[in-house]
Amino acid sequence: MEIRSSANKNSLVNENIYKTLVEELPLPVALYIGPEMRVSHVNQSLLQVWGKGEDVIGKTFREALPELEGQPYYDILDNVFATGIPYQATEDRVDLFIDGRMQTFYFNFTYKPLKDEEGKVWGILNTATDVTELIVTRKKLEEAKENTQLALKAAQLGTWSMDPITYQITLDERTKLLFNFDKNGTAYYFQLLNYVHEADREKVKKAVSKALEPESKGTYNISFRTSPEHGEVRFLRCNGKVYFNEDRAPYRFAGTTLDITEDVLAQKELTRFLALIENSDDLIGLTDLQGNVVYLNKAGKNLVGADESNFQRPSNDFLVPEDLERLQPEMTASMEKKGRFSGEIRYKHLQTGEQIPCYINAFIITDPETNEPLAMASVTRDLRSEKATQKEQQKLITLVENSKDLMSILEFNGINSYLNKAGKELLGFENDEEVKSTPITHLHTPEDLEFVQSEVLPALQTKGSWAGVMNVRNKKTGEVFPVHNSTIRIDDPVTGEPLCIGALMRDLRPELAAKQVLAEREKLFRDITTAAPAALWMTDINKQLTYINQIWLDWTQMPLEAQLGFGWSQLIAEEDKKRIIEEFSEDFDQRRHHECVFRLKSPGTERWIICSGNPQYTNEGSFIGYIGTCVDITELKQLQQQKDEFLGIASHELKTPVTSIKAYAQVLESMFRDSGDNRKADMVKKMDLQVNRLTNLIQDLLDVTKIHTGKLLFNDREFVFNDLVKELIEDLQRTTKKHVIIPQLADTGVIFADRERVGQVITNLITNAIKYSPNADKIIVSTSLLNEEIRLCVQDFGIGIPGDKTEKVFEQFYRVSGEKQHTFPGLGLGLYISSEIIKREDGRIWVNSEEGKGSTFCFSLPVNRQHN
Amino acid sequence: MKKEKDLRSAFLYLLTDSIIKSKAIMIKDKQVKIMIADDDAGIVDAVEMMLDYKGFSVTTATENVLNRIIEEHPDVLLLDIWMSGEDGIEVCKALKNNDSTKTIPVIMISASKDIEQSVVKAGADDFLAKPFEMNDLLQKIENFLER
Repeated sequence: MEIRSSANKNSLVNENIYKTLVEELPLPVALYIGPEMRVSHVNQSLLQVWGKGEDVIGKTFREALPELEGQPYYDILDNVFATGIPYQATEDRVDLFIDGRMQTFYFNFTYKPLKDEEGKVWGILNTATDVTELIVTRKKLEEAKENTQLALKAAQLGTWSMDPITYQITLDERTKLLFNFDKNGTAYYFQLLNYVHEADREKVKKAVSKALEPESKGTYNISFRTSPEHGEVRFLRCNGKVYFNEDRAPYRFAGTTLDITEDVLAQKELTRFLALIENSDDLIGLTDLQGNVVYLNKAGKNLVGADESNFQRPSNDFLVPEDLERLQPEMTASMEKKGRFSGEIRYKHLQTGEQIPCYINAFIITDPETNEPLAMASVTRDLRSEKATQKEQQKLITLVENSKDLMSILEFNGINSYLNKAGKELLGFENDEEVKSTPITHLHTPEDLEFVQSEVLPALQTKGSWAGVMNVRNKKTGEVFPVHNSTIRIDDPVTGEPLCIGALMRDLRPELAAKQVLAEREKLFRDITTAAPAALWMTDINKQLTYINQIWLDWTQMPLEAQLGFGWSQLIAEEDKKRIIEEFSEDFDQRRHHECVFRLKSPGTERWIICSGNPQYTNEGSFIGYIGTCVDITELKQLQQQKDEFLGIASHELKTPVTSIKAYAQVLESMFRDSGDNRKADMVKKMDLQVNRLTNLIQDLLDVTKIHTGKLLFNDREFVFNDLVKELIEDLQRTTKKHVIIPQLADTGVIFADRERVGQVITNLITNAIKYSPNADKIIVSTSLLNEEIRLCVQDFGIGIPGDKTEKVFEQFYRVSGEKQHTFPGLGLGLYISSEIIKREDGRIWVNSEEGKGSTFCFSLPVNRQHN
Repeated sequence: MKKEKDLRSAFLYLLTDSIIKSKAIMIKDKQVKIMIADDDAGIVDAVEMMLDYKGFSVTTATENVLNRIIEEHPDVLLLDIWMSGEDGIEVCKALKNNDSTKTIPVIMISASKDIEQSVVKAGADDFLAKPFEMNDLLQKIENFLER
């Protein structure tokens, strides 16, 4: 207090002046002093405005008007006091607590700072005019005006308003009607909610609550259905607005009601339509005028692998760039000219990059009223399956076109609409045009046409198909030739109506030619088999005779049927039958070459037959039986017999003079020897030896003859083998002075055989050894007993035998070949006879030889032969 | 013919031989008689000459053999098996069935080696195959004489 004593003195003076002024002024006035804004003066007018008594004097402003807390006035006053700048307000709203409730007033007022001589503020003079009445009236006027406008606007609309504080609702007649609201008098919000469809009620509540919040700016737009409980269900749209006062408190909420039932139903149609688009199999898309995608239906999304996140991308991103580049000029031109474009283009799958052939139909959507372009739409068809089908079709067409057989489609007008390449060649067509202008009557002779009319067409009509042989004519050459034709009637799969006739023809000429060749060959073959003097036979895999030719039937005078299987065997001579069947079976089972000789009996005759056959196999190697021949060798046999007989007689007859010669020679030798003329005796002896050679040759011939005729007889008896060998060595040693025959004899014991014949073999081997080793000086004759066999070997050191000839030496008439033939005389029968003898004695004979080094001839004979 | 015979005798005479003397068929005061029955004159002649030379009394038969044998009763008979007109086997059989002749040793002669068995069956005492060695014949005759 002391610090402002002088000032206080002045202010006290001033205070009184102001006090008087304040009290006298008709305007509400108050004076606040000090920074704490202590009310020092307040006149009745202001007290009335405040709704306070005189007890507020002496209180601070805050204490006097606590309800202003939260309103801006405390701060404004502080600010004026601090800055010294007066504050003036016009129609400011002030909420005051009067008569027990908060009331809103509007004031024009000033806060004027009061300063001392030093310019320092010491108080504030508050003057105010209550303009509440004025403001309220004005606002009411404005609302009335708005209501009218609303009413005017709502010629089709219903109107409503709601007190946001009391939730009292005022509805016009139309709104009542739309809501089916039949009550008069005051209505409330919660009451009206019952007239909203149960399902939409919550939505409406939320919208209202939201609109009443200041942040919403009071916007209220909602569509809902009315409740069926009160009548016809309608779709309503309510648009409204909430008005907020300065305190952002809603004080008015009003709006309109519109019946949108028809629109909604229309919308539903649209929704269905959209669903149709959405679910179309074709790609349907929309782009804005800049070409960015704004919509793609499901099929479209699938096709290119897109989802909504790909919207707003340029539609070109979904196309194959090369196609786009190629088609862009055409597309642009077409769009500009016709507003649309159609054509094939490939889409590109966003993920896989697959290029998808499509047919696109793009067009511009225009505003129906202004004709202004709005968007671009496209309907696109995926051509993949179509292309695949086309490909399949192409394959089929290629197949048909390149078939070696004729394939054609005949229309009911009697003209081929299609003829493949082979067909054109076969029938002499140059090109398709020619085909399509030539009636098939030109491709047949009149007789054939008659046949087509009477046979083929009726069959096609009744059975739907015909197959068989017919003639066609080559258009170019005129040649008529047979074909095998398979035709079918092709019907419409849906209606069953006949569409056309399909034909498949095969040229039969090559087949017929081949058949003719075959027939000719068969005849030739038959002729050959009958011409040949041989019987041909064939068996199955079970040895059963399945075929034998006429030659055999002529021989046997027995029908074929009786001879099939094993029937033939009844004609074999009894003596041969068992052997022949056994031999045949054995060879057959072994699948080896078969050969046999037998006598064939037929009425009045007996034939000698030689029969041979070989196993037959298919190309795949499976056995199919035997094929063979039989030849009548009766004459040959007879000739052979004659020859053998002749040789037999001849050699026999030769022996007689030889015997005489020998006898004379020996007498002569004896005489010369006795007379002491040894020189002559030796000469005669030599002569005798030469006669022996002659005798041996004759004997060989005789033996061969006997072998051939089976008359080589054996007089088997037991003898000591080595004794025979020794004897023979002794004898043969006398015939050579050059060679020493060295015996190497192991104990071999007794053997049962023809002593003379075995001796003949040994003699043959030793004489051969002497003969074929002219430059050697020894021959080794060895015997041994091994494995129940007596073995004898004669080893020489002579010219030997080439490796490939060692088997042949035992053959009849084999002789050392080449130049040496002349060096070594002989008939070539000795080893043959020897081998025959050894074989007949159940033994084996063989040779080991090396050309130029010598040979070892051996034979073995079994020790334990049966004495039978 | 006579002349020829003489010549041969002269020829034989000229050739004196120790064998003849030692084998002299004189052993039993009587010259051993051998009959040769064959249809081949060549053989008969040659064998006859040989046997004659060796000191035997030789007689030959080219036909009617059986009667000749019975008539002459040789000490040894050389019988050809294939005598034309007559079958040596049959002659042999007949001889061996005749008591007066069955003791006469028969040596059958054949150009075939293989008839030994039938020869044995016919009752022949031995067998020789043509052409034979004279020594073999003499050996066989000697065998019979020694018995």
